[in-house]
Amino acid sequence: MFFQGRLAQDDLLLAEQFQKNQFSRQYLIEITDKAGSMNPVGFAHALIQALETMDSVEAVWLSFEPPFDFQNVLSQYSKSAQHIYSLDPEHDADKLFDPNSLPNTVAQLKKYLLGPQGYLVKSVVEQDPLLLTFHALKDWRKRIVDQSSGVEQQVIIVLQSRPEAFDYSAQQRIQFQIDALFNKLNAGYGYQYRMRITGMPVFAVAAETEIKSDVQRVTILSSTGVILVFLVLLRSLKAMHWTMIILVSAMGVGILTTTLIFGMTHVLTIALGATLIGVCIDYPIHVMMHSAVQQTRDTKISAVIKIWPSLLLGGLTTMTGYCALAFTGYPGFQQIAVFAISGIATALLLTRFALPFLLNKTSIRVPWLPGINVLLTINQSARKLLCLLVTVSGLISLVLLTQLEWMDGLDKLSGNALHQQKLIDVSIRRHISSIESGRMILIKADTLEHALMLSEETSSVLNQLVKHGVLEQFVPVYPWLVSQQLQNRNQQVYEHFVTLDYQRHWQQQLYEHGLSVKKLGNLLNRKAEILLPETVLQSEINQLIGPQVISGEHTLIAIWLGKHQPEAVIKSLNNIKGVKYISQRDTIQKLATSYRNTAINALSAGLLIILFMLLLRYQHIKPALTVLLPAVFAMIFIYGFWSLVKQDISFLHLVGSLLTVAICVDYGIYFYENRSQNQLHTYQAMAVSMLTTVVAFASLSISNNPVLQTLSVAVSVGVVIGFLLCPVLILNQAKTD
Amino acid sequence: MLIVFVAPVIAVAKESVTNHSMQELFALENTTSYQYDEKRHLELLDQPWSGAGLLFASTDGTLIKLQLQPHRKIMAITPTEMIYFDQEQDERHRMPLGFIHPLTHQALMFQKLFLGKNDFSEQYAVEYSRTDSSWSVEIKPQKSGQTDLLKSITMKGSLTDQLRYLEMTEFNGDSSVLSIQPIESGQHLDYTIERLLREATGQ
Repeated sequence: MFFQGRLAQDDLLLAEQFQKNQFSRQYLIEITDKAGSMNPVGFAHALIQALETMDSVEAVWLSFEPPFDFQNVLSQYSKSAQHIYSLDPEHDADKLFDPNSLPNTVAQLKKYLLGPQGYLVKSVVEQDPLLLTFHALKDWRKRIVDQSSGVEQQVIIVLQSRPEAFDYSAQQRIQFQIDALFNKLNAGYGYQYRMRITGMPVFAVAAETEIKSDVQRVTILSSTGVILVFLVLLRSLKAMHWTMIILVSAMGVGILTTTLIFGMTHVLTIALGATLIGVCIDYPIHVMMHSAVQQTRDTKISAVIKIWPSLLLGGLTTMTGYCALAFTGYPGFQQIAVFAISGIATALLLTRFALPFLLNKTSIRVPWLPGINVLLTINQSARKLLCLLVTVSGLISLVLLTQLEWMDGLDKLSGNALHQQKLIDVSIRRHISSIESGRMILIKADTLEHALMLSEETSSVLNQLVKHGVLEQFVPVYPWLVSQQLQNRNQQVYEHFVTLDYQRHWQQQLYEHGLSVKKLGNLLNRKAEILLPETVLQSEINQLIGPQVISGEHTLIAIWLGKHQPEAVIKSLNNIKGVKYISQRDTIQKLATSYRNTAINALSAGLLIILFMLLLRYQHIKPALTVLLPAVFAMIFIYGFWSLVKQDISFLHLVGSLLTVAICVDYGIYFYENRSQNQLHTYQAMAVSMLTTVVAFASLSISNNPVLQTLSVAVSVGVVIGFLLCPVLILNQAKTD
Repeated sequence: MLIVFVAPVIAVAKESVTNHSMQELFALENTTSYQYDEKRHLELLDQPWSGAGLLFASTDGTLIKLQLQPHRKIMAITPTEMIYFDQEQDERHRMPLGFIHPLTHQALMFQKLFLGKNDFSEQYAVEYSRTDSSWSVEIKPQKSGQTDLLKSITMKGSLTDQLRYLEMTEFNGDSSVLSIQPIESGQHLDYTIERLLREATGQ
């Protein structure tokens, strides 16, 4: 949700509504006999009895057993049989009411009555002698029979929980309880059975657990890493103390502002926001480095005032980078942008207006960075050669960019635990249904009657597709809900075909087969009840079809689809107004591409805005471009490398490079402006900043979430390259001045 | 379908008991076969329906009704499932006994009864009666529910011969009567049971 957000497309919103309606609180519990020798149905029923005792369980049933009293429902529907028997009565009538088939029909009826399901047939036949109810239910029955196949190997229990799917603690408790009940029961069976579990609450708990663990680990590692780098390089606990106050304040203001604007702060925002430590620490470090060589309070303050324009510009360019994130289309990144911008602004202001006074009595040493002088000297003495090398490498990288491959879809962005759970989910769902999740036909109408009429028209079209083999199966709301219009048509066709003559013929056959003419012979004057959809939706049948119907300002009906050819389905529905084919998977795929394009635009816009700010600052194109060069080359190298190793590029790589640019531009500014008039000193300050930034971002790589891993690599490597390229590509101000 | 499964039970009931445990009444000592005649009174049939065939019962809870008249049909309860095979219609059904279904519910009841288990007595009231020449046992559900099809099951026997009667009345008004006569018992019948199960499942 953090990355997909509330997908801004109506269809998807509606599709999501149906998905939530049906699946959000449901668990699917698969029970398998480890040895494959025992039918697990008996064990499953024992487990169901145990699960029913849980307070947080609303209902629990076996996937292939309808969650209602079937005999009672059948008996109720048989009262309306004349109104509901066919989706296409005019077409079916010839076969259904063929007088020549009556001998066979009566023979079948007798066989049914004497067969194992005789009690069911009897509950229908007195209301509906021609057994038209069974004709209406034939497709539904076939689906139930299909679902119950394979129960010799495994069974699926459906558990409907009371708490919402995203109620983390409640759902976690439910999952513990399910585990405990299964283990207790299984012990009595000598641990013969295996359980696997899936459902949206399982994903929700897995995702939240993974993120929470990530946030904890990343924050600890990132903070410890930054503190260690700081202590090793600056060797001052007091300085670290002041810096920590600035960073904690920045984080605090970030969380407060985000919560004020969005109503909450997502844990991933905090995880990514933790990298702010690495960015914001730059400002106090620069101030400390520059005041380290000053002795008095006044000189320290004037040193800070001197470098303030560079810090401000650097801060503004970084904020521009984060600001561009907000326009990538990912709702989560809007939070991060607000979080980062308010955090950076706080760090900058505290660095400028509070830190110099705090440092008054703190002695700061020049950082311990062995080799930095040598690095700077080599870079500058062999500048021309290195420039040539960088240019050639840059050109090679540009050529490699033509092989860049884009990542499709958003699926690969989930963590390992979720990936594993997805595999389990697919494997379990395959046993119970061939309905393709996320693909459906959506019907929208002003009234329930109109929606049902559209649904019936669509179902007739889909029946044709099934006959032609382009659709395996579909799940309509017929015959559970039938429009008044179709009920009238059924009745009219019935009255047309079931004549006095037909009844006489029927009675003759009943007599010949020894069936009661008195009880079954009347076909003409039966009082059939109209089926009232509103009443059905309030009955126990709602458990079955409720998930497919949403009533409100409009009535929405979903028809689930089995395996199908999307183009054929879409084409066949073109002429029915108010009916749409929806594929969440395809739309999300398109959305990924659209996000990527937006990210490219955001990256370009971010670069242009940064360039514009530099132009404003320097009033000339050459220094503005020069300051930008290390960042641009860093980006080109990274993308060249990714092309070389065939790394698929997602919008996150683009986002990572946007952050890299924003940070590297700071280095360019510091190095170019060299406000301390001491090149080595400036580069040392930059090195400390770079190391803390790298530690902060690199710590993201221990996360289980590929999103954070990708950002980690993109930013860490980019920042190091940007830092190394500054002395190569920028002739600093001091020299030029 | 269930009607038949009660048959072995009554056929092995010991004549001398009056009010003993189920274990005493119905414990089966060896695989046994029986001949049966069946009459069904269905409200929707003008005339009673008649059928005849063989019954097989084994000590593991397997019960088989092999209908031979009016046409061949096999109905079986194994320890794990119910099987139905109608040769004339070429129709087969299998249903695990774990299903919540009126048929499996009754089948399990009969199986428990047949295996001499007492634990169904919470759901069913059992009444025993005896005269000088006959005995009878009547079983009724304690309360009617969707899982019970049968209103009552009455088993009757004579103290002088081996002919037994089983009468079952359904809640919907239909009833059946089976007359049952033991034929033979012994382990060799297990092969017949195995063969019939293979035929029923189509293996």
